[in-house]
Amino acid sequence: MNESPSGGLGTAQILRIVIFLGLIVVAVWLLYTIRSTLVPFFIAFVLSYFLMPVVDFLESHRLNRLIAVAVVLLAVFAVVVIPLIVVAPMIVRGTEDMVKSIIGEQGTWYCVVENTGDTVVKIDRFESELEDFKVDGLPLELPPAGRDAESAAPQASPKVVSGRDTLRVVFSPQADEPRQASLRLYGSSGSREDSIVLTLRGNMEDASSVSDTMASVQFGTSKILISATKHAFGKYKPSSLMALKSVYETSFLPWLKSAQTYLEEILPMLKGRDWVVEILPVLKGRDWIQAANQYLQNVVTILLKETPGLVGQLLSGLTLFIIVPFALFFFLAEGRTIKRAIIEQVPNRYFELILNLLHRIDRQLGSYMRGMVLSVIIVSLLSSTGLYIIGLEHFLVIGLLAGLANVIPYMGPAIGIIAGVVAAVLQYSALSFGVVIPVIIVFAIVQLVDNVFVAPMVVGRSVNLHPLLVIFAVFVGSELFGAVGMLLAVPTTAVIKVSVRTIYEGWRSYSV
Amino acid sequence: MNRLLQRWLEREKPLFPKLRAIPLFRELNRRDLQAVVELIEIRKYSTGDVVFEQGALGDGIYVVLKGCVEVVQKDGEDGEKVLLAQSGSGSFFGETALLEDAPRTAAAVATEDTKLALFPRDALHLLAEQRPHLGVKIAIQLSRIVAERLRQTNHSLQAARDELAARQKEDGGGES
Repeated sequence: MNESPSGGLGTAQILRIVIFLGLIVVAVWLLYTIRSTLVPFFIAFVLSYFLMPVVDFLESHRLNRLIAVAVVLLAVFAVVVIPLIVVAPMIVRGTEDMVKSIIGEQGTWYCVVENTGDTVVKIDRFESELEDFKVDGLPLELPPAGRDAESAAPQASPKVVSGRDTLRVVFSPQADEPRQASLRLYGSSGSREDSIVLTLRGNMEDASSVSDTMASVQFGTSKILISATKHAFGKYKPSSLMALKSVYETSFLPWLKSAQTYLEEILPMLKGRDWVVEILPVLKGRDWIQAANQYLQNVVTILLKETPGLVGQLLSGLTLFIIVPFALFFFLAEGRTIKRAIIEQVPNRYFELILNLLHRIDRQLGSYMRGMVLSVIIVSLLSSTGLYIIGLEHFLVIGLLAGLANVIPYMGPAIGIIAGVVAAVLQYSALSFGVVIPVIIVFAIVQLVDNVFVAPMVVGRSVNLHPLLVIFAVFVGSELFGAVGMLLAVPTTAVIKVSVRTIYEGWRSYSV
Repeated sequence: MNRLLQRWLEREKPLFPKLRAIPLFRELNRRDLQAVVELIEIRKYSTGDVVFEQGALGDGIYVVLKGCVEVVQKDGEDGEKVLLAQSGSGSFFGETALLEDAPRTAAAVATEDTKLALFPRDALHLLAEQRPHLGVKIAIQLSRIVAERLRQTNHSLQAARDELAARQKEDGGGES
């Protein structure tokens, strides 16, 4: 008998390996491109892991598998989904409210401009005195008006009967008080540069005092008819990030500054000690206040922008109520058939290796996923209840977020606390111990309960990975897939680790 | 889906007598066998196909449903091959992998067109968890098989020792 893989690798074999690796790369790339579509299926997959033992148990007690699946799904529906239907609108509304208060409300005004002259008018940029007012839809090109179109611009598209278009003027207030600014639109007509001034106001007590009147303006060598050069927006709420910024500037920054002056006062006393000499340059450079300031703002902005998005994504009706149950049913009822169909495709030579790999992954992930689902449910419930008791407005959103984030090792609990604190600060527009301490107490209790009572009960919350590897994986996950990536970092890393080790062992045994 | 399920069940039905014929599953009733059938993997091999290599990761016990498999052990560096067993239809091989996650101690090669069923180690664990009575039945049978093999090994070891002692006596007698 002549075994082919002993000795060195043949050309054909190397080629096969290259093709195989290439296919893996393509597959990974494909998965990466369709990652957002995969989320509901992934949720269903994780849930199927959670529910599979129940179905197996029922089946081993003389129940047909399909009926067992139906029974389990109905039970889940009754226990989880029906209450969720009641709660979901609250969560969605809460999320929307939060998004609105974070991003701030926006007013829009559609300003119609029409070229009534006989040369082409181009408007390509704007300048605004205040950041509150912006214009969308530039650059804009207006051919001469319809009547003269044929003679003036024969090459213009025949569809354009008149040179009319709209500009979207957006008002996103930076503060609560009345805002007023002039916004200048720059452009050219013929060979002449020109501009129009729009006078814009917002957050006025009486918006109707300024009436929009149509105006005709000379613009370059042409004439423009504009629906109004003056417009007043109603009252809109500014982004609470601004509020947060002002809270931060009025209460946190002074504290930071006083800490710095204090440091500077005690620094001379510490002189003469070696370690001080080493860190002195770092402390003396005043940049660190600025850096901390910048860092904090970035973190808060990213966190607040991602949070409602993540929760919304997970809760969007289509995902939760249609695709997930559908996929869940098939995973539960036909999981084995699906697995068998995949295994059948594996060539005999690698069959046992792949089977071994699947079993190892199953062993490593099974209890972990079950534990995680349980932990998410318990921590979400506990946090929401606690936050409700201390009177936080968005207790459901923050509680759910804390429960989900708890899956992320090390950083998860911190994310929950930060989100809770930020929500409390937004709610009361104040940064004080009275606002922050209750939130921290709630999360401390939840963490205590989670670690002392829940964790020992839930088998397999860890997957035997080094803490450094876990942190690295979480960072990579967040870099590649955002918040979802952070949630999936640990199981994915565990799977990769097991796969690499198994394939390596298998490979070594083949080339002995 | 029901149709698929039915087709699949019908395809596996003839397996029952074959499975019951092997010692591991001898004590099982119909319902238990059904549970086992759902966990086994069926593979087809052509003449000369390697079922597993010596040193490869083992995942479970193989039952020969059709055809024949040779179990071969390679000794030492020079790679002299020793035929350990020839397993025909109804017999089994690779049972140690059912007990531990260790490399295969011998290679298995199909000597004709062969159909095998693999009962994985994880399936045994799953059965032991979900249907303890069934798990115990299989585990007891497995221990019997291993005990029997041990007895055989002891037997041949004893025979080899006796032979060695006899030979040494002969050699010693010649010298003095």
